[in-house]
Amino acid sequence: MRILGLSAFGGESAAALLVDGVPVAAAAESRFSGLRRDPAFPRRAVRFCLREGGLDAAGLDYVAFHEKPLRAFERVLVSQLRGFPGSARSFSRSMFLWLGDRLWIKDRLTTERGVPAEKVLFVEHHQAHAAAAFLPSPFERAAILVAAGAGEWASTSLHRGQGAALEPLGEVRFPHSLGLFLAAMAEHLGFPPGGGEERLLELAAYGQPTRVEPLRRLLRVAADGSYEIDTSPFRFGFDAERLCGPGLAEVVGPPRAAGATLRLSGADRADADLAASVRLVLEEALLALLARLKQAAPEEALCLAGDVLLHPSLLHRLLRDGPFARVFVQPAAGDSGPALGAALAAHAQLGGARSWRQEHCFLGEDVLSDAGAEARALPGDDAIVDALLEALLRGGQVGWVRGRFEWGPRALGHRSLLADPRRAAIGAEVNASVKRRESFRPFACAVTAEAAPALFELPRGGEWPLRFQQTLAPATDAARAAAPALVHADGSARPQVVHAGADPLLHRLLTRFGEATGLPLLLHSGLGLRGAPPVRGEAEARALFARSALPALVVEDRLYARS
Amino acid sequence: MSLKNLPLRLRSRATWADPARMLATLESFARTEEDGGRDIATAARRVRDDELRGHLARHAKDELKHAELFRRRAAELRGAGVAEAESEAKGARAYDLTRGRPTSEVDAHGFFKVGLLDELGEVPYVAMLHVAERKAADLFTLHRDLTRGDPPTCAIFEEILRDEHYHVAWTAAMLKRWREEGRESEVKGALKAAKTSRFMGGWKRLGARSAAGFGRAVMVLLYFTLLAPFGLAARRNRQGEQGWRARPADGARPADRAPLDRLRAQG
Repeated sequence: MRILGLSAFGGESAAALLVDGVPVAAAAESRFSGLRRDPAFPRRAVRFCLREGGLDAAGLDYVAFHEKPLRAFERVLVSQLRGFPGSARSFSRSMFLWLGDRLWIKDRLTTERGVPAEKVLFVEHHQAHAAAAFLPSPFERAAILVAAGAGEWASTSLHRGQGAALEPLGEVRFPHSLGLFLAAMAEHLGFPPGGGEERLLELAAYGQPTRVEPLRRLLRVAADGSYEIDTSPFRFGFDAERLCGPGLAEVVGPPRAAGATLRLSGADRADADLAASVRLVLEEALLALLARLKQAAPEEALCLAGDVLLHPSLLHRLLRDGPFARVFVQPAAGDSGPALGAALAAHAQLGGARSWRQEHCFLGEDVLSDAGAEARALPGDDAIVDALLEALLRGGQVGWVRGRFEWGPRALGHRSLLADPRRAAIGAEVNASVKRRESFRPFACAVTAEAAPALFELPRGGEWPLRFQQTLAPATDAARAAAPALVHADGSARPQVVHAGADPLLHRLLTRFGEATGLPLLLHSGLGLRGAPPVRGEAEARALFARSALPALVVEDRLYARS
Repeated sequence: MSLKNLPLRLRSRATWADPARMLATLESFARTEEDGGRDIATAARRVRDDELRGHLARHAKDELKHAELFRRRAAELRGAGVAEAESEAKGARAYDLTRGRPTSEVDAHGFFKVGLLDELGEVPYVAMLHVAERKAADLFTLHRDLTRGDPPTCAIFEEILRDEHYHVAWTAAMLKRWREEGRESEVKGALKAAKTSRFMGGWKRLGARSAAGFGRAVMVLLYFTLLAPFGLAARRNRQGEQGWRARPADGARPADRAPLDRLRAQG
């Protein structure tokens, strides 16, 4: 059975092609369009998936879309009416969008893509999330938590998974939404939409949760584990573009203007304190949800999805204090994940067996070669590792592009920027040469599985999140002394634990770096400029190399070095 | 002041008068020229016609040289104390060279699409370059005139303009050669398509904006008339449903709905 899964019009659109229950390709549209997050119909991702599968639209058995459009439209319409009369502008905007485009997805697939109408399927958004979390997981049975912005109506949902079946256990409905609460607080702190949430949670490391009480009045956790949001100071109930109302300033203080200096050090840490308080109330709400889930589905294992659960600091708290022994988080836990989930859910519901375990994320496009005359050939893996090692030891940084790009937002070794973490100023150097991010933002790292326990306090049950760089781990004294640039203000780091069997080449590079320096650990980030996803092919990598001050770049078996 | 291109002239004048925007604009120009250069260099490697390959290779070198000129000038400005735009918003207001290009030719960042030759074919590609370079020559003439008070920047535009004239000339010569080889209709069609895509791009954007504005106005009218009573009623339940809501498992839904029917339902 060949099923094309699609997600579109949310935060990030994507496509995934499933053949007999196994994904042969999956990619977010942003990887092709170059936007950080791209919610448009995933035209290029679809083209890539079909090409990878050697199919055209006629060769597909089904196309599974990630939401029920009529139910989602009902939610939008009702919420606009609830906002009357303040929702006039957002009403015209959203109706124009829905009536002009989003509501007619079936027609669009039929007329533009040539997919017969009877082949178009619709999977509920949270069911698609739950399927993406559980069906690829290593667990036969698991409890499942989905926490996202808003699906059709659900914003948070609980499920139980067994075999290939998913059983919904309950849901909290829009406008009560942890995702929208977090996005609104990020907006209040002056961060731009799409990515502001992550910055807020990174900023939290610099502050103390001194503003928790007013936030607890806004986000009330009930005894039964559900939660309720006082929506009166917010606008997200009816406006997707301006999430905060004027009343929020009275509760948590005035907003930070975009571009104004962040208050995160010295005597005035007001912004960091607010961020730390937001993180704490979110953690409390998520732990209450997990307690309820454990009651309803008393399983050992937990699967997670939804953009709220993409954030490493929140996941670390859930691993540390939650009631589940083992955890799997869909690597594309945000809005692209339901493309894969919709295909998996449709396959399962139509009687397909559960036949795939997600052990890696390399489901994207292979490197599009565009070798420059200045490239030096590297014959074989040994030469590649030697070149990478030399670049790291000599120049401190290297870009590395190989194989298929990653499914999900994290660069896990195929579109990577690696750097020597022993240099105290390496974060600033990487920012100056390539990343150009705010200085308060931490960098992730890659470490061999053998060395990880000595350098980090690895969270219990976190084997899979650590493989996919999804959780924080407190740094040990050894890591603090050897790689201070990787340790965040609160003493945590974000390690990707690399096993020799999972990624032999990256593991070998880390091992060789460890032999040379005594530290099998590298700073690891996506190879892309600020505001853009990691590079796609060789031409983009070379353009970035030319545009940045990166000392060396390895693309497949070719080395580009700055003279 | 001539009324021709007045909005463009005013916007460009504002850009060159603000050091932060000027810096961002020069860097944006550098990126665009570089991407164009890389695309043309890729095209040069893929064509079989020797004459065309030679022109494309030189054209690519010129574009990369322009990128370097812009980047060097931006570095000089930075060295002289011109700072980054204070906010992302201000940086985003920099003049973007790619605004002169139709969207079909550029990627999401506004840069030339890599591999455009493969999508278009030789004749349409050169026709597109010809039209784009003529437009670019006009734009650079405007920028040269507006930077007369800044001799180093003005000199860059002078130099680039010389190259642009060559670019317009070689593309015109190639198109003429193809015409003489009996590909008149192909060349004519390609030129028409390149010009139309520019014209139609602008016309479609104008049409879409007008239609969107009208549509939104109608929506607002509906909102305050037909929907107002429903809105007033819905306000009472502004907080929405609270607490847990049970959802029936798919298997517990009416047995007459087979899995495929459930999946086909949009609501």
